[in-house]
Amino acid sequence: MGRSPSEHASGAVAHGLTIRYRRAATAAVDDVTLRFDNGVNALVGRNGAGKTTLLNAIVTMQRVHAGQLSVLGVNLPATERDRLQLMRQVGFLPQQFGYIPGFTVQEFLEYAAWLKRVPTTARPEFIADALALVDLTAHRRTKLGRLSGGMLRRAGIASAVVHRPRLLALDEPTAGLDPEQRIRFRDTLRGLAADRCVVISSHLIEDVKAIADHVLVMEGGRAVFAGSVPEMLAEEDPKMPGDTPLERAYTALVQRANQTRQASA
Amino acid sequence: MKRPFLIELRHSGFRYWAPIFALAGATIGWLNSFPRIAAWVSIESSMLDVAYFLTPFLAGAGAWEGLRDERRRVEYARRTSAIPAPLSVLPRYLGGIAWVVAAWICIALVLVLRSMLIGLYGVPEPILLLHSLALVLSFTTIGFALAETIQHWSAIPVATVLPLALYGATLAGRAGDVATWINIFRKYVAIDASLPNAMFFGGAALVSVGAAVVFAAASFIRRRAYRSPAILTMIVAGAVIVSGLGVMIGQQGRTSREPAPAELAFITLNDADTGLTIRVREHYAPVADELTDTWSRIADLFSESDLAFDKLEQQLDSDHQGAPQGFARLYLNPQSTEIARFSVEGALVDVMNCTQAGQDGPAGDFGLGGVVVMQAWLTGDTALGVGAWSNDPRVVDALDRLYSLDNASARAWVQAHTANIRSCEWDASDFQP
Repeated sequence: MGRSPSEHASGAVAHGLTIRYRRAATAAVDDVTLRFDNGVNALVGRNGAGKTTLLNAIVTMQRVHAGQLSVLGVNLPATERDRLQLMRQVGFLPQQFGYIPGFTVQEFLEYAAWLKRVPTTARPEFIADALALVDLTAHRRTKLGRLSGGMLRRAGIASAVVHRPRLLALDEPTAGLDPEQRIRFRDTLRGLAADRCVVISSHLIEDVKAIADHVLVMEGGRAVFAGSVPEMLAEEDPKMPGDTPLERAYTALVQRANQTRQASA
Repeated sequence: MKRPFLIELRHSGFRYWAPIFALAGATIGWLNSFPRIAAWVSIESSMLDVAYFLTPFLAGAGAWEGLRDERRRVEYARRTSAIPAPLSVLPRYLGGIAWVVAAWICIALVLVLRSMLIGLYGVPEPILLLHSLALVLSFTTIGFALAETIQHWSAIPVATVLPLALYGATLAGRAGDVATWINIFRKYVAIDASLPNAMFFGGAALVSVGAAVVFAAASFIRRRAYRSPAILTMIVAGAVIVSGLGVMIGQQGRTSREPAPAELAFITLNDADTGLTIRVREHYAPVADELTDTWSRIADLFSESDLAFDKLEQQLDSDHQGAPQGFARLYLNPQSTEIARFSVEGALVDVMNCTQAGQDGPAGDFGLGGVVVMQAWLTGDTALGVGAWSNDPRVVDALDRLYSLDNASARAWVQAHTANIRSCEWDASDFQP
């Protein structure tokens, strides 16, 4: 693993990754080992399972306390120079992202492109592509404060991909979208993941089944499963609660992990 | 950088604050300007007053704007940006600063236009104008820097309190002591009113530079790897700011220098009827007629007495020491709305023996009443206003009697009572037919 982002490195690789919050009794992310390559990588788990903390660590917003984390070949924590280089290749959208209501969609993307050091001459083309990707070209002059919830999230996604990142991290990207928007968003995500590493966190199993190439199930800060959707389906226990096989597999994995933890405690 | 700056310029919270600051500043500047005359020194002084008034608001607004990303929950964009932290906040800072500069220019333009309508005299001292600009920019920057450092709404009251604390220290009269204590350059600072006050502006420059460094360092404080050097830099820059403030306050707020006599421009006013000449600084031209009319009448009244005069010269300060006991000096107060009347009252201090500290008071059975009547008559007051004197029939009658005299009789009366005027020794009978 090198100091600068490598073109051939995996999206994110972690070994024994541990992250703690101040005054917290337990680690938010506890001894997690993972590997995210190109394609859609889904972080699944209930609220407080550690998904957001892990995403924040991948985008360098969260400090790593123990273990190793490498993003696009850059070991974290990195020097400021390397971190800035890495950030040119990383896109991020938090679950509840804020915005300046007076900014137009175009201005929002121009600003995002500037923050990601997209060359001035390339910006118009990059912004046009991002707008087209989320189907907001016709609304580029609309103020963010006037967009619907779904359109706003699409604008947020456009800001996260405007610099054509090699790793895209999206926290609960389908939250607040109506069914039609979710279906369209899945298509968008599939397109994005064709040539880059996309990491999404979600507690919606349907979304995971529809788009994920790789799934990491988290419970209590720990990774309790890592593998493909078919591999996860193999964990299904018909006796467990859930409406779909994947949901029953998820609840089985979570219950098994909790039983193991209680036994060891 | 240009495009983000333009976006921030368009959306800066200061676009709402700036018109308010401009309006408040122009109003305060207008009210603090010389009411009857116009000179660059008045504009510069007013701009400084405005700057001092606005600093708490600017610092608070700077902190408020500096917290925008936190308020709007968009700090993630900066924290995952690919450009250094100080650079990522620069467009927003510059956007806000541009609005502050625009407000400052509006205030200055209002004061200059007002002065031009009255009749603007003198030459501007650019450093004084720049000083007022530096003040508003410094405290806006301090507000931004505090927001970057604290990253909590409490940055707003902290930023506001900082200049207010300086006001408080000044009002409490302790600012000088505090300044002496915190001013590490105190051994090298001396107040010489005849020299340009380079130290004062040096202090202001230290505050400005320190604020900018604190702002830049504060932007690095989030990065764990840079936290220690950033804090160290901020401490050093904070010390620079404190020293700068110490230098400024240590100069007792003296921002200007006393111009050398050779630098002053005078005009001479002539009255053909009495032959009176009055020499005053050029910016008193707007009140030339008022001065000439007032003093021609007095010159005429005293023309047959041994207090007769045909020449008056403006005294550049209000010190009556060494003045001849007669009409020779003209004391002018640029802040007064009644400059001519003020000048008469000032001149009478030289003429009357009873008006200065250490002298005997008025004498005779109508001593003080006589002095009041003379002041009112010579300044041209026909009424004595509301108060004890306007209810005293002897005073009212005496004033009526003097105003009823024709010119020749008035001159004769003054000639006959010159000694009373000098000594403030009056009997009621002096004002009776």
